[in-house]
Amino acid sequence: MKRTLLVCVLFAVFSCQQRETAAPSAAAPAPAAKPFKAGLLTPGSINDGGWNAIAYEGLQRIKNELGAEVSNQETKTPPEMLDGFRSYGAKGFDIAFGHGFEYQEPAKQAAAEYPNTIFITSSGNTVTNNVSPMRFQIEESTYLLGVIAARESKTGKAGLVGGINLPSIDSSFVAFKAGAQSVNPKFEVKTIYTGNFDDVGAAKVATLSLINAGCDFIFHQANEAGRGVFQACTERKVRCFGSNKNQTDMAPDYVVASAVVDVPAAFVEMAKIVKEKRFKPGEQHFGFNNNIVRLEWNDKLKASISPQTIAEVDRLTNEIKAGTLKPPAGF
Amino acid sequence: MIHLSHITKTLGATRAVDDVSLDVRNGEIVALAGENGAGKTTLMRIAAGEIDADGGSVNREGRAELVHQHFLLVDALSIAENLALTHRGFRFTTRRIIEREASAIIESTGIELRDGSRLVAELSVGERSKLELIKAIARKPSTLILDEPTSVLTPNETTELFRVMRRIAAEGAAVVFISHKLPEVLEVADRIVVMRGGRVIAESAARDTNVRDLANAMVGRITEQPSDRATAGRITAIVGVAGNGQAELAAKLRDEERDAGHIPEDRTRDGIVAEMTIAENLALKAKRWNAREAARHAERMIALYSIRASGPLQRAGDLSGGNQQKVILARELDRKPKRIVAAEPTRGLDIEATRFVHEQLRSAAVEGASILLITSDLDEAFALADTIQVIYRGRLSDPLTPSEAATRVASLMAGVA
Amino acid sequence: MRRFAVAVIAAAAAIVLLAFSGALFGHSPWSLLSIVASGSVGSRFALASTLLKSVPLLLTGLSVAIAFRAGVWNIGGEGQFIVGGLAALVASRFGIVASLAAAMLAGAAWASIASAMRLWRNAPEVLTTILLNFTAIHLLGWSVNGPLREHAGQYPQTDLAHVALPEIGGVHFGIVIALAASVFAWWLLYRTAAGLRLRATGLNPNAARWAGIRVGAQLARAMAISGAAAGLAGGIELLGVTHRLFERFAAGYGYSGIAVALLAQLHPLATIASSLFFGALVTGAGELQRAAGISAGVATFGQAVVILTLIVFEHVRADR
Repeated sequence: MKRTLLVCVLFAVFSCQQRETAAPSAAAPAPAAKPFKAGLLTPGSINDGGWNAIAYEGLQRIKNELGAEVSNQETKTPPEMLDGFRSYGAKGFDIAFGHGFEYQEPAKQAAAEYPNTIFITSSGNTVTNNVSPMRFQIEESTYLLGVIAARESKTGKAGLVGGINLPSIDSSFVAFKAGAQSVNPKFEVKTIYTGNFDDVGAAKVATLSLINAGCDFIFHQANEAGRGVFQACTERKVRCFGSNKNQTDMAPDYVVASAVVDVPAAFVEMAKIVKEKRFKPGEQHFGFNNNIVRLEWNDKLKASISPQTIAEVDRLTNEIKAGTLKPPAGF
Repeated sequence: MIHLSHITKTLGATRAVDDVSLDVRNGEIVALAGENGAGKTTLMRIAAGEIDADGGSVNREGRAELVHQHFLLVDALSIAENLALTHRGFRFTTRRIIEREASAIIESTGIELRDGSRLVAELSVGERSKLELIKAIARKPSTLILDEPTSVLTPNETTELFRVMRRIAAEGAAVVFISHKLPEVLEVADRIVVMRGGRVIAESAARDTNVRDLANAMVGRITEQPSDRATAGRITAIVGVAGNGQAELAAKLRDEERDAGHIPEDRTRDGIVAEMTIAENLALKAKRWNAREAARHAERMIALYSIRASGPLQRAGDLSGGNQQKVILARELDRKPKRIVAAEPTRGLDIEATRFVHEQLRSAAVEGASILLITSDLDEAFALADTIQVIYRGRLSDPLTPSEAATRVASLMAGVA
Repeated sequence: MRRFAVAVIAAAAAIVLLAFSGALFGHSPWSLLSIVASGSVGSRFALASTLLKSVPLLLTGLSVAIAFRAGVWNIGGEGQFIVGGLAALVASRFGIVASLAAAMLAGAAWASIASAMRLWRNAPEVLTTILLNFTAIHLLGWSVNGPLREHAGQYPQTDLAHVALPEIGGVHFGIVIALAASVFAWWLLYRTAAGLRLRATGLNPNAARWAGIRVGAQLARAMAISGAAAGLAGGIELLGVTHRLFERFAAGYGYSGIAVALLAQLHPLATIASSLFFGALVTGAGELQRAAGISAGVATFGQAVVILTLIVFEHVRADR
């Protein structure tokens, strides 16, 4: 009985094995040119519909648009990150992304061992010959949101809901405040950090308390927890802004505009730079200039905004693109 | 009705049942007598269909219920809930319904057990055994098998049990009564079957035999009369109906007199660690532990206390009840404590093992230990004690000499004095 | 011995089952197995990585094994791991020995909160240890965002520890400590009177009490030792691998320790093999993602499959 079972198992294993080898792999490329290879390490699941999903989308676009060979891994601990980077280095990948500031040190360590691979972290400040951070200048967009809020507010107050107090998030808030106070120096901006990016309830409670304090515009940087912000704004009929992507559909009647960061496009751009051997170590800037950071209106609500405000936003957008206006950043 | 023919069963290395044939007819009470480890329980588990025989055939008419010596009850549930577990499907119910059903079930069995809402954990051993009996009888078995049911009962409870047994038999069921208490066997059974070493040694109608013949058949040699009492230390017996505070007294003494030797009432629950070896069980009170030394010590104890075991590394849980008790005695008495508290030290033991325990307690007393014997077995109390105290509702009577006790103990136990 | 045979069979069966479930993703079981093998032991880096993962698993596995042996349901390895890391970081200025000692003390103290609540208020430690995990996670989150945030102030992480464990061939010295700890745990449990009493308490607390063993003290002692092992795991992870703290520091090592200990049948020496197995599984799962695009959940899934197979096989055995 046991032996029969064993034979069955072995048979099954080998039959599968044979089927695999029998079918010629369609994906096998012509061997001549060495293919461009890009790897991605994410701190969470690529199915999260947010931070990690965006990076994965970028990776897929690199595959499709640049014909690259791609690979990705979810890594939670530094040893896993180091493993991932080393593995990409050892397999001769041209570029390896680490999607978060926490990838700086593993990147630095692996980069020393594999000088032919370029390691890119999403935000951070570590730079070596083959390690650089991508810097998304969302401040350019949040500055304009601040302008809109200050010009359209009736109460003279706006509220900001943040997840964790990270430099990138704080910086976008600094720019929002600067934009608002460029219109009205007395404009009040209140900030609450909930301490995490996934507690929808906490974000909702924070938003409600800001609304109770008189804020009539809400902007958030709380990733998935941002859902709670939109719930609160819908319930209390308060206008708000979307962040990172066009979030109009989260509250179609209340989201006035979104500060969009086209991360996938940045990934493609970054890979293109490396592929075309144009890479120079240092912070890799992505903003209004290469159309990766944008301000996107909710067309349905745009009519309710005063034409003067819209004209002012357009004017400032051009100034930022031209480089004559530099919104302040937190770091 | 059950019909067993040429049953054999091997457990581990021993032939627990060796070519046994047995018939129990409807309306008949058959007693299965024998020492611990004679194969009585194994044979009856086969008869009830709990385990399969290695050889031979079992014919059963209708349902057979085996009431175990150890309890199969859920402590955290009430009496009614325990009955519902065996008597109800997964139907929607409320506490009130199952309590009403429980009291109907209890009444139908003719056994007295009050207040079905009490938790099993709060019941005395006697009450628990009643509940087990109710569970079995309520299923209307055509064969009812009782494994050592009287070992935890008071004399009154025993009489009540016998009455129930006779009624069940009169109603047409076959009843098997496993016991080694020969007077009881003679009192209740129509026919007596004696087992020893897995075989049937003797079989006769109850009216054709007597205690002495049966005892000789069980033990295989002439039983000796108890030796005369000669104790230097003192043995004080605490007697009483189960559930009058004996367990609490023993637990209190356990926590207060940590240097004393303690023999707990419930040996499988409180006495041994079943999953550990004999050597480990014997070393539980030792200051140091060295596997080799412990094994040597265990070998000595096995010889000294004539523990029937394959060796020091045998699992204590695999030993028979009497041998488990010997392991506990070895652990508690071998250190020569000045004081010994023994609760029901012979409950469920056969004649041989009982005598052994009594000898050990006596010799400990001779060597100067003062012994507190908590027992519900009056014969045991009178056989061993210099002083007897009666416990009733948690209170101890004045110390009595055995002759004073002989006249007063019954009324003190009943709380009428 | 048979218990271990069952564990080995269960582990093997789980691997086969896992490989075949890969068929759902359109991969051949054989190629999946070879990817896992090459990703976990196929190269020097892979091997080193497997060993690095096995070290915390070995210690948290021992933590669980000791506690469960004594009948104490310490599910709080995760929290004890975290406070161990916190204490090790704070004490790192005083050297490696002081840092690791602080980690053990902190783990033991954290676990002892649960045994204190058990002994004084009869609060079940299964609940309290889990709740203490959440407390520790928030304590860590607050620390790295607040008082222990790096001096540059940029990210919610601490500065580097003042000391680091020495490394040989990519594997830090913690592996020696962890192996020594498992030998120590074995010696403690099976070669000392204290261990005998711990085990007796776990197997039958009633009998232990009647044999004059102070059961409450055994619970407290087992919990403290167990907490110390998990705390040590955190300390070693800090000084050997992460060198600093951040919110995801524990990464589930505390919970995985339960799987490690169960597969090892709660035996300290078998825990070594078990931790290597799970370490290889996690490392191999990484390669599985990179090379075959199979989701990261496969490692967790694998752990669950191993434990379920183990339970099934044990029941098969019990039925016979």
